[in-house]
Amino acid sequence: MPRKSVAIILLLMAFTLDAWAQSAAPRQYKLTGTVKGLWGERLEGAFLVITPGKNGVFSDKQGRFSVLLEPGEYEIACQYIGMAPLRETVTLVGDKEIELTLTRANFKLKEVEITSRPVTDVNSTQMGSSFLDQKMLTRMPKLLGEADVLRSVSALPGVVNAGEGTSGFFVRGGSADQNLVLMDDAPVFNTNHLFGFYSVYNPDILKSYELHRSGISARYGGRISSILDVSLRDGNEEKMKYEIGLSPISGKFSVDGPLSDKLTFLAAFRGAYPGYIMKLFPNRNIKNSSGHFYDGNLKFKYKLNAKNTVSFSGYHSGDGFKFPNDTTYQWNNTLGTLKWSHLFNNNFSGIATLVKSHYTNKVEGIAIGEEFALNSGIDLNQLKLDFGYFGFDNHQLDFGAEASAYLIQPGELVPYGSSSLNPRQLESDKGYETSIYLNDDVTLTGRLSMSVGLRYSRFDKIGPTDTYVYAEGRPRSDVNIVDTLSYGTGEVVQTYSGLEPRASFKYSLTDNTSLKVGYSRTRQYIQLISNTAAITPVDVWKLSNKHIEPQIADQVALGYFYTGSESWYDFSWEIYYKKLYNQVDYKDGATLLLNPTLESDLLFGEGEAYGSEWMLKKNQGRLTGWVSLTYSRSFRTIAGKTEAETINGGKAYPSNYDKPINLNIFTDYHLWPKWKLTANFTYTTGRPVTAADSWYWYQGQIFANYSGRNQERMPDYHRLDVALNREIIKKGRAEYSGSFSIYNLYGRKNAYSMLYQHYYGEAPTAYKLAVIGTPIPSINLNVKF
Amino acid sequence: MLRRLLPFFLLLLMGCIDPVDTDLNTQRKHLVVEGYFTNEAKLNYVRLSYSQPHSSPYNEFEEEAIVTVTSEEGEWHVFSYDKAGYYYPPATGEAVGVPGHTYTLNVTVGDQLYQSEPVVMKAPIAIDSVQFEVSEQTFAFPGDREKVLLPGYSVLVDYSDPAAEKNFLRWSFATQYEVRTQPQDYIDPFTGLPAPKDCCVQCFLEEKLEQLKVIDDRLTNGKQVLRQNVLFMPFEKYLGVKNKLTLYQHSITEDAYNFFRILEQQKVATGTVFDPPPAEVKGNINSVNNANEQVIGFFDVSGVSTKQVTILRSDIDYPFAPFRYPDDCRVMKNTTMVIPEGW
Repeated sequence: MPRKSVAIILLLMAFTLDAWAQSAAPRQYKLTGTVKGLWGERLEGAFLVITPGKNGVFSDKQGRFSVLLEPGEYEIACQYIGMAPLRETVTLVGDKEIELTLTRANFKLKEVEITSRPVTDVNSTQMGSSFLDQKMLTRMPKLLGEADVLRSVSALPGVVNAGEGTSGFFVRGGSADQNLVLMDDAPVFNTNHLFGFYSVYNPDILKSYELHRSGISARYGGRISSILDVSLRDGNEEKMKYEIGLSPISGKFSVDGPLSDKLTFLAAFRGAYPGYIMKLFPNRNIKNSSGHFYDGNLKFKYKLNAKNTVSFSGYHSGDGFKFPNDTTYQWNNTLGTLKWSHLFNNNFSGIATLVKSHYTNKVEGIAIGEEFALNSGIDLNQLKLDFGYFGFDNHQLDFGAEASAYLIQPGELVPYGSSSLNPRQLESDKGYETSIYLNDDVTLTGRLSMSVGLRYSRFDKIGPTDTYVYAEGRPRSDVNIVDTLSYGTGEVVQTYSGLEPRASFKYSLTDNTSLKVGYSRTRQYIQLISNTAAITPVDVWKLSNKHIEPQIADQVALGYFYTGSESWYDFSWEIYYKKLYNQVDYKDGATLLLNPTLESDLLFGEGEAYGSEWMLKKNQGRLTGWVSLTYSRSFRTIAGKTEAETINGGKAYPSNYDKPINLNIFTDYHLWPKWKLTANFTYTTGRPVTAADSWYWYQGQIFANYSGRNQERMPDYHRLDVALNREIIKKGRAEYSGSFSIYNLYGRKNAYSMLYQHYYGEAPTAYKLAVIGTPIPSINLNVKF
Repeated sequence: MLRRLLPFFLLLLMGCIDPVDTDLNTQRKHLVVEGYFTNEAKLNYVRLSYSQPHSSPYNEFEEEAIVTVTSEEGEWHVFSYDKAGYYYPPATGEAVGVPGHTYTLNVTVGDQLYQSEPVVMKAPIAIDSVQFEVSEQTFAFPGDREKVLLPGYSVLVDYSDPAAEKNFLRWSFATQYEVRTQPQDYIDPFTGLPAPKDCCVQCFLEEKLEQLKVIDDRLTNGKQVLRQNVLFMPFEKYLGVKNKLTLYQHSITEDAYNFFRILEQQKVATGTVFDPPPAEVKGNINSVNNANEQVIGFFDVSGVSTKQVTILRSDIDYPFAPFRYPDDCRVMKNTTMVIPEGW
């Protein structure tokens, strides 16, 4: 859409809203302000209650808020996770601007610390979103000594893990690649370290994360299931601080502080060295293998003046794995975000963000006669403009635009030495995604508020490329190609575009209960081609093209929210229904690597998902925590034009992500003054599998006869983890903290997958493979100075 | 190559494999057809059996079927029942295929007719040379419960891939070998006392070795393919004295390639994150009377080229202990004392 018409639409909307607001407003003054932390950082999402009137308002991305009030004296109570609550009295006789500075909750106040934003749910229009801060995360039980963002995400309602040893997660019946996973605004294409036992997020420098799974704001787009928005903290403005963390197989170091009174920085480095443990194994293959990963973060924040801030967040990681005389795997992630925040005036702020995400993967074969290097990767460059306008009473307008350029190298095979392989390079996959959005948070009455938004996205698949034309009425396959269409460099091959309306409404039944309803349409133009249950280092991303249409999801959700007095308890209940279009599945035995006619191994169809999620949280007292229970179903229907392109006769079948019951219990118990005991229990129904109905001999070997797809289920999954956390001990300048965790306390051998095996003299039997079959203890120690 | 991640994955994480209960109500029985037709008479056979529910450890064969192979060119061969589900063409050696001809397998069981899709026999691709390389692999002799790591020979073949068309290959083997046993060291199992036997030390065995491995020329089209690893033979038993190995290189169809590839995928699948989910192996045999009946198996028509090599113990430059079998060598299954022709 041309820029001019967008501007006109925005302008028109602004005028109508303005006129409406003016006619409705009585004689009032404007109270605006900024909420800041002790080090001057602006706090987004702080909740302010203004009495009398019990007006509730949140601070925006810039830490700003604005509210219209009649003249008089007001008390403002402000709260924010991990900060001591603040009360301030304000006398209003005209428009007024205030600044609220919150201080860190001191340790004696731990007992009343809020474990999660209890108030968000009831008073905002936001639904289907969960927030967790770093403090909470580090207290959760650990695997191999490290708290992990992605593992904790799967403890939230509506989220299930892809399986042990993978960092993928499924949200409300969607696949792992339907989640947009961000690190300081940059999309991450491979979140794994060491096969998913670690993720790309260094918990020591994490600020918080938020998972949106319904009622997604028009500000976000690009994926259809969920947005995991992870922010890392900035360097503090007070003094240089150092932190060292150690666990048996990994080490961390971070430093942050002011470089001048305007410039702060943060640098962090992590490395893992499982090598010496692998050397202890008797198996020669393991002994002679090696593996490692490292990653580093670097952040700068420069406050030009009161109205302008420039910040940079960079990340680089390297992973490697080697097998003796055989194959090596290497992958690298490089992320960068450059952000300029500008305050135009007290009512208008803007952020320009430049994002780069670069992922490369290299598999190298070193066996004689088969030497090769297989390179693949993805490169994303993105520019985002986000604006917030608060000039209209009872409205908070967010609008902006986004442009992304994707360049995917799907695979390049480079043989060398005595290799008998032919070199092969697949055409790079290139495309542009652009979008604009407008979102308005409107307070209609004291009880009713809404958030309505519209996003328009467009995708252009760009040449050079060869597109195959397949014979009509025959299954897509390389033998059925009737023509090849060649497109030159920069030529537009295919364009998809569409609107993505979003809306959510909140109606407060009482001061502490509310009903919410939300609708959202989301579109996705990129998919991960992977016929395994999890994201693995050799999977390849693929853009939409002539044959692969964009994935679309429509979701409606309805929720009931309750917060007890003083926020001791809160309760939420959400139900949702989702319809998914252009979902990808795979032909039996599909070839995905180095396949120029990839679309002929893919199958397309529709999906449907629905569910109900309950969550009860206790926020205060000696025992805090939550219980979340989900009942949900997820189906796919693949009814292609030919039999070879149909699954289960075109009938709906449970998708790989269909795990009807999911129960999570998390407790945090203040055992002794400085000790906390946390426990995490998970239960999910086993995932659907394709099972065998009989066994048979073939070529002197025994096989299982699989029929249909996903018609049986694996055994249920359950697991208990516990952790004992020692709170900070101060010794001189240094602060020590540590924890001891046991993952899978009762040693359940949870099935990752099912297979059939035959031992001589016995009937072939179904077996399950458990990735982790024993309790795994770990210890970690952190020192800050 | 990703499968090789498994040992690490398993051991590092103390993972484990345990039996689970299967739902026996959904268990069914299907006809299994294993059919081979080539330009080498002795490689042609059809085996008919039935798939069994997981509760049943027994084999069930179809012994009374009428089996024929016909061609569009007018050939007609009857296969007759031998034993253990095997049907062979007449021993006269007339039932040989001709590359380029189109063959169909017909099986009549009672009043049910099963037919394969018509398959064109591909031209064979010659084996240029055969090489051997010492390596260690896990291997299970018939009757062993689990595989053990053994030293042996990897058999490598060189061939030239024709550039003009897509090619698909699989291999099968026949091996004839001599064993020397130690009847003088026999121990009576009842008394536990040495009871040396006088006979016999020298025996000969013949075995067929099947390999599931298939390859395509997607990445090697038109090239001289070197050292393609096709078989592993442990030194123990097979290479203790002398071994005559016959290699058959089958030029198969694309459908056969896909069939065997998924079968192989299933066999080596270990259920890790890197494995694709198990899939139905769709064959090319259909029930003519009942389109909904699932028939397992494939009628594989291939053009075969042959190469024979002889390996002597004395040629192997690797120290390994002699084959240990403290009994009369005739006690071993399928042995003969008759010295094969031309040995």
